[in-house]
Amino acid sequence: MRIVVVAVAVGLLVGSALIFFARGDGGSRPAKKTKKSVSAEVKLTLGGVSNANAGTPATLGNDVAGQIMDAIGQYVDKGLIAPVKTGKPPADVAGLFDGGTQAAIQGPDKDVLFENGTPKRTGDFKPSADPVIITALSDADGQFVLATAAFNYRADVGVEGGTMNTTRAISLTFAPDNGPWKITSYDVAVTRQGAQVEGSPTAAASK
Amino acid sequence: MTARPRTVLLTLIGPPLCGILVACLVIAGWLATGLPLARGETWFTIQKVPPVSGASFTSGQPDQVQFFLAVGNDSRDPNGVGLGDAIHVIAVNPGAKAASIIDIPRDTSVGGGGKINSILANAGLSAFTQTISNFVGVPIKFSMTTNFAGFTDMVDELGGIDINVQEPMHDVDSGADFDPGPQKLNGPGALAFSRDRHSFSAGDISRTVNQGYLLITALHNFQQQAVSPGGVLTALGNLGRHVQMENVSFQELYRLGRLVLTIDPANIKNVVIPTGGGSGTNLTPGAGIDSLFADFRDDGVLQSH
Repeated sequence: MRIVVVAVAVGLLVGSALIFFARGDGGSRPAKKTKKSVSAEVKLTLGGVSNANAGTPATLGNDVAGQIMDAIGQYVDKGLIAPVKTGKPPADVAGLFDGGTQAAIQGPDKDVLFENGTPKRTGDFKPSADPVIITALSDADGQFVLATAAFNYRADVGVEGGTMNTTRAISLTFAPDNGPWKITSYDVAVTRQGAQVEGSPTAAASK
Repeated sequence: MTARPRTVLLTLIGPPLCGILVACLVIAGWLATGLPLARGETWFTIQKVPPVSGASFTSGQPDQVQFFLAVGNDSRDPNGVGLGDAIHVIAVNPGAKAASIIDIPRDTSVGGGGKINSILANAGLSAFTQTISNFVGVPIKFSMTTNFAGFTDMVDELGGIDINVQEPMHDVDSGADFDPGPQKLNGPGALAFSRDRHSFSAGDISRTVNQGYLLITALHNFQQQAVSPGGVLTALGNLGRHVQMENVSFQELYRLGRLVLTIDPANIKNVVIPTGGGSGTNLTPGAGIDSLFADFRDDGVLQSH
């Protein structure tokens, strides 16, 4: 009986220690590399965080890094993947951007930022993404004020006449917007080749 | 064949024949306008997409002329602010994608109050900015200053500045030792380049022009490196560690910086103010200064200078 009690006590101690060391601490620790995808459709993970400190050394917290990654996941799922899958324009993406960008994302930039106005999918759809690299800037007091998330996104889509390959080099800069971090600046370069691309031999098979 | 059998034949063959004709017309229409992929789907026209496209936008970028002040001070104390020896009022015109730098020699006498550079050391950056703003007649939105250690560390962290030296520069006092032609300046080299006044007949006037030239060259370096948005943040961190700034946030600097990176250095004029005397102390503002400031003030672009 005594052995059983001792064993239970040791077990409880070990269990408590494991729980203590394994628990999170609410985001005060440095953001670390995670393998968890923030997209429901494609593997999209945080590749690393670089801290640019203008003053007091500071490290971007997991809470902000997580918020930015969640926004990127929504951008990819709703802005790049859903339009290809459904054939409909991107929806529910405006809230990811701050007020100053709203007019721009509804203008000519819409076709670059999102999968919009592209040939209809007739075959397979294979999206993929590189890990996201975040560069975050903190001010003299160590308060983070801006963060840029950069990654490449690729998609092979079966369309009339073959496959269209799309590569996007994406850089989204976030800033706190009365609480949540929103996209305040963007740089997106799109490269396409294959079927339905201007100048591509396979594009002639459109009719 | 009698009339009755012909009628029966037409009755039998007519409807299917009409159906075939209608079907042929529909198929022809489909072929002419694009085939719907499946039953129930909407008609569409296949549009080819461009092989390359891009979008770049920054929220809240200024759309009006921005005036700001960049000052190099002579403090050897890494935390100190000394005499304002390198004084540059910079204007950026977003619409014209152009900029101007007005260089003010450190020995310029403003309002009969002695050399302008002492105001920074004696009264601080705010008072110095106000003095320069009144002198030039432009609303200076924000200002920044750095000292010897800040400047050299900043340039070193940037990886140096590639510059084309215009004239021989060999000066023991500043440490400048450059032959004309392309040079890679590290932090101390850039400081020596900015401080050298003994290598030129025009002394401090040429030195002041060189400082503006260094600023434009640094911008050109940035543009050639195609600095990414993340790189801009890294550069701002570098700036913040080595420069004292007033009345500007990092978000404002980011927006302005992204704008400035789109300006062709050929569209940036670098002009030293006319002074009444040669190199020396208490230079009086020279003839034509009002015209220069008026040209600068209206839209930040120097059209006639």
